[in-house]
Amino acid sequence: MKFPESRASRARAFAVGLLLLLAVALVAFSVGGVRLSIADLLSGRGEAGEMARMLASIRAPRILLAALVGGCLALAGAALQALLKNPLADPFLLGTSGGAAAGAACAALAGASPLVSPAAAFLGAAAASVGVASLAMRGGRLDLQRLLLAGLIANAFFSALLLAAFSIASGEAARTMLFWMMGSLADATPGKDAALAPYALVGAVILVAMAARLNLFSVGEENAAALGVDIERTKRIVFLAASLLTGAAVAFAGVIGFVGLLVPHAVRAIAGNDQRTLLPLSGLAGASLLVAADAASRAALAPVELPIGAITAALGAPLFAWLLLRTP
Amino acid sequence: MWSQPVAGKVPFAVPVAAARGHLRRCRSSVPSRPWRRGMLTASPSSRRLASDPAALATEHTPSRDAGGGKRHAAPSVRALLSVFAFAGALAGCRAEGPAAPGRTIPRRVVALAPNLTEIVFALGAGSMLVGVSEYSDFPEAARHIRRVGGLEVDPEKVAALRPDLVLAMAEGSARGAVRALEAAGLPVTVVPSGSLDAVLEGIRLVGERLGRREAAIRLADELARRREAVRRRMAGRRRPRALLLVWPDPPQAAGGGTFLNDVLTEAGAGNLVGDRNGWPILSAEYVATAPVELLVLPDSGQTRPAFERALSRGPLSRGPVAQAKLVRLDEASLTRPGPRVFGMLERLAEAIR
Repeated sequence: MKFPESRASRARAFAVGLLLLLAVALVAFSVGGVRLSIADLLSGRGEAGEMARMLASIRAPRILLAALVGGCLALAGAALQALLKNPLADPFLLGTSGGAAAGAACAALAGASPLVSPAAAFLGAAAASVGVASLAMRGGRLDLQRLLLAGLIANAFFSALLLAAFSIASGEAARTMLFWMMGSLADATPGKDAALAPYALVGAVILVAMAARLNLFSVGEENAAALGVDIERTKRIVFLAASLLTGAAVAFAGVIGFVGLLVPHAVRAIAGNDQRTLLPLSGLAGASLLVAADAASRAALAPVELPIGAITAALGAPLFAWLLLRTP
Repeated sequence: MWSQPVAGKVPFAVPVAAARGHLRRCRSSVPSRPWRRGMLTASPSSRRLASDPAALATEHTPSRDAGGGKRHAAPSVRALLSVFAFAGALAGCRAEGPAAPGRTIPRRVVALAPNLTEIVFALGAGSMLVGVSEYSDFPEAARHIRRVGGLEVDPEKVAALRPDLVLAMAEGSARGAVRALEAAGLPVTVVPSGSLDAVLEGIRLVGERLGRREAAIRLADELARRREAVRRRMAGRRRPRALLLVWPDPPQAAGGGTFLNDVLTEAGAGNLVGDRNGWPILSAEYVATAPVELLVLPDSGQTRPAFERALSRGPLSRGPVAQAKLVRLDEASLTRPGPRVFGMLERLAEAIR
């Protein structure tokens, strides 16, 4: 561990992460099943210009959605790993994603339009988080061991619910459920981006603000308390903020695996374990990874689109293996 | 990452993995989408079946040869008999071809897919049906026949009907059930569907099994004649670049090696994704920029809202595809590889002309 780091070095790390994200987004913008020429887009004249504008109107919202979702998941994963002191914690561990998918499934089964399913998914995620948190309360304290078990119970329950719903659903309802289970960025719109952005920002700001306190968590709850951290408050805030990020991401893009689990590890291997660096960098790196993965899913077998979850794992696993090998 | 053996951690992956299994099962049965029910797939194995009569002969149809009386023999004896019968079927087919005469005419038939139900009725054998799949809604009389399950065929329900012939698709959600039925010694005939040729082949095969050989040959010849007439009418014309979507969002098209690719090309259109096999899911970018001149959509109460949304503000609302000539064809007739698809071929050719 090399914290405390200086403010300047943290700022430098953040700037590098931001540049990486911008570079990846720029590349992602020009690749895909159809080549998009920035020159055509800027000149904007004639048939080529019109085509470029249309492509941009499809691609740009999608890249933004990928960045937001990737950022939310990676940031939530990093915060939960620090909170639970468990390197295998990920945003889908605590029942939120299951609740979101079940919420969307219930709305779809009830015959609601697919347009309301993000709202239903978010409600499901919120209900699941509150349920899991109240299961994990013991004597007025949020017991982290119980939190894991409660998440496990919630996930098992929602899986059962979802499978049962899926087997009796038909037509659009089944399609909607499958979308949530597999994860997809395919139907991104500016409206979805605008709806997701506030949740992502609020959650991210809260978690980054808690980073210094999460640093103290690494020495154990008792020691952190001795150092003057309000343990209960910190635990609840981090849990709820992580749930907010996960629920929002899942509501708009379904369950996209891998990003939330491994991006924090990758960032930790490079940038160390100071949460003040780790959390914002994880967000940026998660956004970059998902933007890159989405570009690959559009371009690799164009015009056929690959499932995004397959790409995140295929890109991320070798990266992670490499990091593992070079860590002494 | 999903299979990490971590104590106390069962992530949300459990339903995902299970659902993917489900998807795979459904994909095989319902060509395009698990949620598109009543459609049947064109699979490589069905194409193989269609083109290779010897492959057809490997069907496991013990009772046919073993005789009804022996079906109640002790399990081990029955197993032995079915081995002999299997070998016998192989040998018999090699010697006489699939049209072996002297086969008993079945009286209790179960059809595990709606297109098979339609074929049986078209051969005038609807009264033989004692069980059909959930979505068998054509002709009207099929609606009153007992259901044996939809996406998931219930082998126990099928067996309880004591069928002396079970008709199944070469690939399908029913595959598990088909294996169970074969293991139970029920005579299952697998019908190919991967191309229009395969559909005609399937009609002849079903006729064979139902003892309606003449009717089947007449029907298949009649359909082949109508198909040939369309082909002649459309010969030498310019082929509009076309997409046939089985689902709008994300757009999923009929690619090469499917009977719907045959419908598109023989009706005089050029399939833009004919070089992709199966049922490719296309990116929104491709659909918005592809030079589509003709858009063929299956139309039914179930698909219409989704297609309308896609046309008004989804992936079909931008670019050339939004200006393309739109042809809607009855979903059940178009997407079931049965006799009615030839009528859709004529309708589509007419629309292109």
